[in-house]
Amino acid sequence: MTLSFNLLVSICVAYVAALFLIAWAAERRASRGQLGILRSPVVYTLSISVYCTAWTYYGAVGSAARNGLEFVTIYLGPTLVFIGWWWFLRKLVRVGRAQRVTSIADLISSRYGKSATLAVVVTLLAVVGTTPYIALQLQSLTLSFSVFATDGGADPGVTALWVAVGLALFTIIFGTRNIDANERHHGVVTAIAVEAIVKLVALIAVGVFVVWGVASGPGDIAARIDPELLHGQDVFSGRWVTLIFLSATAVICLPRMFQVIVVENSDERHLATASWAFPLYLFLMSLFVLPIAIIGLSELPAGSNPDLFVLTIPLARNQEMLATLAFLGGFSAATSMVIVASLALATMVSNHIVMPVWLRLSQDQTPASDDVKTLLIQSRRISIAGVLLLGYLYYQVTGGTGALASIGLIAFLGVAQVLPALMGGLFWQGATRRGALAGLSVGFCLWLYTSFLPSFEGGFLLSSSVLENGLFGVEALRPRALFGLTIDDPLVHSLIWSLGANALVFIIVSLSSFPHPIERLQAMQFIDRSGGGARMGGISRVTTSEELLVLAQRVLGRDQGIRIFNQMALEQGKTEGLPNPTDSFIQKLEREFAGSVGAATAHAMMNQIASGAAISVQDLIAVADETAQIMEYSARLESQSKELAETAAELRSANQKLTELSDQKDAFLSQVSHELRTPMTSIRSFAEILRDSEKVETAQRARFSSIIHDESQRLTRLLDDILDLSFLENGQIMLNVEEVRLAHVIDRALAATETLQAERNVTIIRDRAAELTPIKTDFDRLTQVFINLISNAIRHGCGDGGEITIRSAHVDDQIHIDVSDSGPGVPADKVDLVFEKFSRLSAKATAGSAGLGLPISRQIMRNLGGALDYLQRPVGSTFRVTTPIHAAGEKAPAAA
Amino acid sequence: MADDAQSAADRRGQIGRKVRDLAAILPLLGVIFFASPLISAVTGGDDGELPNAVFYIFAVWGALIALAFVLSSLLRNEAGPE
Repeated sequence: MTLSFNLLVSICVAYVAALFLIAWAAERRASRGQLGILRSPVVYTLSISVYCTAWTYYGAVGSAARNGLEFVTIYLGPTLVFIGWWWFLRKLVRVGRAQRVTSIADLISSRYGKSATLAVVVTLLAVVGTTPYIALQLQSLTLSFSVFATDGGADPGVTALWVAVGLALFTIIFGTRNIDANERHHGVVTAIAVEAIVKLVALIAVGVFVVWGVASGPGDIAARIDPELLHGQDVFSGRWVTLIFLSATAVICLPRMFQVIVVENSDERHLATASWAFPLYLFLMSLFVLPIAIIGLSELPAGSNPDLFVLTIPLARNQEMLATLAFLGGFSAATSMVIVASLALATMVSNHIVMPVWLRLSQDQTPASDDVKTLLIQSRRISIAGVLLLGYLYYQVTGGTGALASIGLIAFLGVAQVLPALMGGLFWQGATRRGALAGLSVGFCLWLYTSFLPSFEGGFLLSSSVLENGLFGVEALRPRALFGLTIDDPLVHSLIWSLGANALVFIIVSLSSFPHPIERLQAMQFIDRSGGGARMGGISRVTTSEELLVLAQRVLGRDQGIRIFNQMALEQGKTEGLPNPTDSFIQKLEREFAGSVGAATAHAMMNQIASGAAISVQDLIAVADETAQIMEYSARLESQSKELAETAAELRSANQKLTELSDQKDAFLSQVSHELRTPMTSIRSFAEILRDSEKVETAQRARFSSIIHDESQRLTRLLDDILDLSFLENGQIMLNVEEVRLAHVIDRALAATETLQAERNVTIIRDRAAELTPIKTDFDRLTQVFINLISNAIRHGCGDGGEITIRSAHVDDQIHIDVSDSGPGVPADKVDLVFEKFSRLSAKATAGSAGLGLPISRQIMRNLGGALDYLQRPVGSTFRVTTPIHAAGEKAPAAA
Repeated sequence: MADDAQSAADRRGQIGRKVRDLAAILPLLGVIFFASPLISAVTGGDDGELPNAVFYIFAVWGALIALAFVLSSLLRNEAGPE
């Protein structure tokens, strides 16, 4: 072993310097906008291989040497997830991009109403779950160093410390150079992709050397299989399924995996490539694991650490170059994991713990430009250092005990606690914040108690006696056999308890609690197939553009803030000045912020500058959209029922009209028969007298005969009237229109009623000069109207010696002729009945009047194109005849 | 002619749907082959020999990757923003 420790350190430094150069070049290209290869699916796929850490690099061979095929499970789980990208990863990436999430904690918090509490819980879980993992990398790195460090070397603790410090520096320099709006790190990702190639090449090189250099081909390998491995136990077991499940979960939930798969994703289509390319990468990574393990077991002396076969086989064969390459592969696996993991954790810690605390403390301070940005970068740097320190401490406490694999699996199970909340958040609209919080807390505590703390083997918090006998000596509380559930495998035991209880509590609490409006809003956006975004956004409220600009400059930095505002102003069609603080603008800005500080913090910041209600009417409307389908359906029902109601109302009114008409017809018929009956009765009785009594005097006989004659005449007149009225009403009357003078009409009417006038001694007052206007009308019909009016006035209006006034006035194209009497007038309650058929208003109604005069007169006037109205006057009654001067003749003949 | 074009478009739609369905089922196939007792049945369970199991797992794995490759090239264009 001539490879000196110092030479090895120099190689490592050179390797890191090369990485540095690559990352720096990538950043430069990105800043010039030459993204090209940096955004290719190949780089994306290779960066996902950060899944393969030093644990899988070294530990897989160790696992194969100990447990045969079991190591494959760690690769099979991710394979299943990736070949199923179409239904799960695609949605995850799409939602993550639409919501601009910065970490898995951000995603969970964002889904459950931008809950800050939830973000803190997931962040803590991620930190606690990742710490052992980082410790694992430190451990494998120091182990691999120690293989070479035969010439004195260094204390493993010191090596681990130096490695941790070096990695922290690298991560700080490249991970926090700027707070990119979308939280993408081109430099780091490119460096990780290069490391992925180094890992793969190194492992395949060792594998090829082992199969064709040490052994003489695959057949030889098969022949050398250890008899113990040959008849392995049944491959399929509870542990087998558990490991596949855990690794599948880990590839989604591990903070670093989420970082490279979702946050660093720049194009959804890259997933399509990764769906087969990443499984292929894993396939190649595991292809030579078994051969190396088999040769290691048969070639190296008993007691050699199988975790280091990758290094020790080439060294045993004096292949120093190959050994160095293998070492570099392990080194790159470890460094890439630590860099990405600490970066992801630092983002979570600064966004979800440091920022909210700072926000609360600085609420009243006057804002200065760039201060949030500076704070973010500082807190991220400190967080990176803190995370690595924690990993180092864990490494020191556990003292590098235990097989690599078991620590890794504990970490897997820790982050798997996020799974119920994540799956529920993406696929179950009923999942609530309380449910997620309760499930996570329960799962987290159970994982700590049954898996994490026991991993220290009594060295931390839980003593060995507690592990042996249970907490407070209670048998049921034994961490590895909780409540008497004895499963040989502590991992399966812990998984069943923690994840089972987690999912159960999550579901039960979700079912029994109700989400806030903002939670429902987010749930819709997450579960919506498109991943949300376009239709509606987060919370919006009233604020001014100046306030927003100040805030944006604080969070994104001065230049970036101004650039975004200019761009948005342009989008709004404004060439200068600030954009209007519209809803969509505020939403966009909040998402920009979310890209830097996480959804919950961005939301809190927006809240801070906003006044008034936390939830606007628009949000409520958006929430109501959830029930839009139901509403639309009910609206349709409503309109249908309205239509029905309208139709029913129409039918009802038509029915009512028909009933009224029928009533009128009945009334008319009964009145007619009544009118006919009276004269008929007298005719019949006088005719009977004449027939039956023989000694009727001649004078009497003559009187009776004349009564019969008069009554018959009255009957005829009545029937004539009815016929007349019927014709008039139907407009089937022949009018003989000619030019006449009104005075002549009235003269004729007065002459016709002369006898009546003489009987009652009535005085007629008229202004004959005003009546000389020539009009076109039917002379006989108009005369009939005036005869009727005058005789009515004489009969009802005047006692003996009354006056009848006839006045005419020329109004526009019409002449108004008022016929007034000096009598008692029509009582107010009977005015409506004046023009009704057969209505007789006064008790003095004389024989011969059937009560059809006024209705007939009115119909005549209507046929003549005029009108007949009753005017309410203080004294007497006045009827107004309105007759047109010209057009009456043309209008009237509606005759058939 | 129009009918032909229509039925061709219809067929393409149908095929696209089948591809998407298959893509959704693929992980289920993986679960059946890898994480069900099927694996014991094929590799012989307790009495099986290691090479059998290795061959089985890597063969199925390779087949799944090949299938995923074919499907992803068919679905790639549909993955963009809707």
